[in-house]
Amino acid sequence: MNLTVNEIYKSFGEKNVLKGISFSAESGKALGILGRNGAGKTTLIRIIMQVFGADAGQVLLDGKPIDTGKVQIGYLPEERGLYPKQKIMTQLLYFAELKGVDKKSAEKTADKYFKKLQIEQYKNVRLDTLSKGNQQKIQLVASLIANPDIVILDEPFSGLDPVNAGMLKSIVKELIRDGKMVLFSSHQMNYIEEFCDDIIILNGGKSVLSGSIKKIKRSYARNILEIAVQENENALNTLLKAELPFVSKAEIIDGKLTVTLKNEADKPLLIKFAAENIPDIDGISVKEPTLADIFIHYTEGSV
Amino acid sequence: MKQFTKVFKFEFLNIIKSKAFIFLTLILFIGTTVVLFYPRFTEGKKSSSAGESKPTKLAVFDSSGALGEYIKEGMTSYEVTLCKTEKEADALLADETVDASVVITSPLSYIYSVNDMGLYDETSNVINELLQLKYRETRLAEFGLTESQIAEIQSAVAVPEYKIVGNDQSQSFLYTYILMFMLYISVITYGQMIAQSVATEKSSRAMELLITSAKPDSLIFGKVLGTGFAGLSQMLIVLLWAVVCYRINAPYWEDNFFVASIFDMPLSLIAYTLVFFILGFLIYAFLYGALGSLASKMEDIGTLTTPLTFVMIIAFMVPIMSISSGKVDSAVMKILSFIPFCSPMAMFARIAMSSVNPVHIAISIAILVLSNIGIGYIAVLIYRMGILMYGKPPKFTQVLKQLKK
Repeated sequence: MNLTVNEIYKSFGEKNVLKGISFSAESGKALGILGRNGAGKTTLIRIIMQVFGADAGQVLLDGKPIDTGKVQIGYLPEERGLYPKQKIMTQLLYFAELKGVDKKSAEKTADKYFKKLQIEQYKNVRLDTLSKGNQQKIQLVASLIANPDIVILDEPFSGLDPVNAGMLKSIVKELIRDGKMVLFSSHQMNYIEEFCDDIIILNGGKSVLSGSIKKIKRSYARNILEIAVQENENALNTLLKAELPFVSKAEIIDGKLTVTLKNEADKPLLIKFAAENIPDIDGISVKEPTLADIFIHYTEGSV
Repeated sequence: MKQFTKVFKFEFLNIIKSKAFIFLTLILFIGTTVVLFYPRFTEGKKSSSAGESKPTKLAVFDSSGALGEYIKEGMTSYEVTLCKTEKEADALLADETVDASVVITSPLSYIYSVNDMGLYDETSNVINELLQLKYRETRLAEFGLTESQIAEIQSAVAVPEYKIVGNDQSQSFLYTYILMFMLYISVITYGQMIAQSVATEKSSRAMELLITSAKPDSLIFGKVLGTGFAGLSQMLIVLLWAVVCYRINAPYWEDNFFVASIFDMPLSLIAYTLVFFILGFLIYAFLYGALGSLASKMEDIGTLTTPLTFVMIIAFMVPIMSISSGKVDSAVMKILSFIPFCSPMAMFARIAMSSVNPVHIAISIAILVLSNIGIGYIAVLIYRMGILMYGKPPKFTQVLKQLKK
């Protein structure tokens, strides 16, 4: 399946929340939706899920306007919420039935995930008796109860300890492997990098950047190199003394010897120089921007 | 429609499984049972100990002497002590040997003294009657009438024959009152319950999943109708139980005009009760649901629903006061019986207690049905907007502005 979001505009009263958002996502892949708080992510998700319509633009699924009555979308909202006073299985089945799934298959799906997440013993207790992490797991089960084709996960990892995060990771990976389309929103960039091939960055209601993470990283200038050495200071002195004409800057950033070249093509010259003049060298590599760097670069300033 | 049934079922089960509902139903059951079985036990006692019931004790002093004896003879169900002086009578009353004292000062006047005046003290009426009889007898004899002539005059009684074309208000008053009160209580309790339930879904953010799983129309209609149905079943079951209890104890209730009148309600009125109860409940419940959606916290509910509760109180109080003062067909009541929020009470009271033109009833019901559709539609619009809105509840004017869009 292919989900295409085409030039979506949405305003609430005077406030223009979305100003022409476009992107597309594929089954079997995860798309990271990034944006600062208030960038319009939730609004975008709600439009995709047809909670309300867009002022302009379309959401297409395989070329046709999306119909949530026909395609199952699982949603893990950022604001976690279920019925605190209801028994867990009761409310999971209720949500499944609202989505048009029959009780039996919903029960089966629930059991499968209960087992995977090691929360089988909580099936028939009230939600508010559970710890926050376990409530979070129930929330995840609720989003997957209808065996959806599209899964929207909004900050799925917040509040989970590393063990629980590991369980969740394996489930997300399994979803991708099973050919589900995963839309993933998070501020934890390491998770985005781990799961998503493509990202879209929203800022001020517009998509300021979209595409494959790899390509985006490649698109940045590759003229900054990091030299791994035992003794940063000695190596830096060697470099500075040599007054190399192709080096524009050499400094120690965050404990790493970082060299900026005037020209990307001069990389071999620096490598040759380093190999000959820095005896304790461990390695040399191009410094790629992290996703966090990219994110900050595109969203700093205005929201 | 499928989603609606799911929501309806979920909400209905939620209510009837809740402790508050079970508790209330139990109380109502026990209450009706105790009240309606009460005479069976008291009546039984009465027959076995009829002689023991204490007659009122009376001290009588008459300066002329003749009337004292006459009163003692006339008041067979009283224990009358004749006193020789006024002081003696006062003393007997003071040490509570007697319940009351009567000091006759002239053939038509007397002092009736009692420590505490009871609510249903009939004694002075009996004495009035006796003194008047004696006075007339004496005077008529003075005019020269024979004894038989006097007896004939004294025993003359007017006998009316009642022909009631419409409703007998004395008979319909009590059940009208009870049914109106039940509607009032149902709207207030279940309306609040709906508002609270919507606000809880919002504050617990279960709404986030609900709105992405179901259409808002199904959510609010399912909730309002599911809750309403729970309330209606509760009322019907309790009423049915009351009828059963009454039938079991019918012989003991025969001479209680009021209670018997409740269970003599005409069948057509039961149908009207259902129509006005359902329509009246829904029109308020829709709005309670919509108002609940505007709240972000439980604390907001009070402020939001108070105006609506006031409307309900007025819609209840005006008809109640009108029927209590016997002006069930006053101009105000006639107007109110066509206004949607008031007609369930006002028109119902008029149907029950007077004769209303069937065309007017039909018009009133039609207006109410159309208003229900309109209010239901508006409620969905408010709900749709409200459930996504967090923060301070909006002002009424802001809501109107949003609705226009």
